[in-house]
Amino acid sequence: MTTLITKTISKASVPLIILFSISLLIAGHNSPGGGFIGGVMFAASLSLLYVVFGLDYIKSVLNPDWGKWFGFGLLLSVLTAFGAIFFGYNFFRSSIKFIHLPFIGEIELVSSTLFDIGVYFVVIGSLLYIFRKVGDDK
Amino acid sequence: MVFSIIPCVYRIIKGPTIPDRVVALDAMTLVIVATLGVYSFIQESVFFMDVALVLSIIAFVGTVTISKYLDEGVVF
Repeated sequence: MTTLITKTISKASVPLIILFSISLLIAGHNSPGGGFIGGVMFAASLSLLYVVFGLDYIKSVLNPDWGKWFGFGLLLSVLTAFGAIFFGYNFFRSSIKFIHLPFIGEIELVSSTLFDIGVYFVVIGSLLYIFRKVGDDK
Repeated sequence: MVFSIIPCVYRIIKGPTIPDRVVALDAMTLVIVATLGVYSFIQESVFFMDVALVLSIIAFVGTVTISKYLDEGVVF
């Protein structure tokens, strides 16, 4: 039985952890972070939900097929890696583009962010699939 | 900062029961997080704060999980 303190703290902290994981994901090409650690943060927040509220309750609220997330991430990473060949460059070639948005300023778009998003989905899918399968085994 | 890790390591190695070790590990993680904060201030770089945040989140989830395992015997 989990106490009220744990439930309240986890309700407050799980959205913050998810936002932090997304910020790690999109800042990952030239500062600390990246797809792997963002995915680990996301999986940590959802496994905190699994631990605190119980596996059956969370499965009644939110039950995606994590294996499909794994497959989608792997497909996205592989397509990003092979996509540079169709534009005439070598394998894994990354392209960078600076665009100017109003009110925000200059941001840079890097094609390796797509690869990072693929790694993000692979890590989330594999970790949460393992957690749910191991936790179900009673 | 390093000297305040030594009692935690002593308690992890010597600790008579498992909850002693869990609490000592959590305290050691908090000391490392504080060290990273001070080091980030000395180096005048913000990159170590991400490391501190990630380490504290991982330590929190791990401590909650181990506590529930020790309390009930099952995790989920």
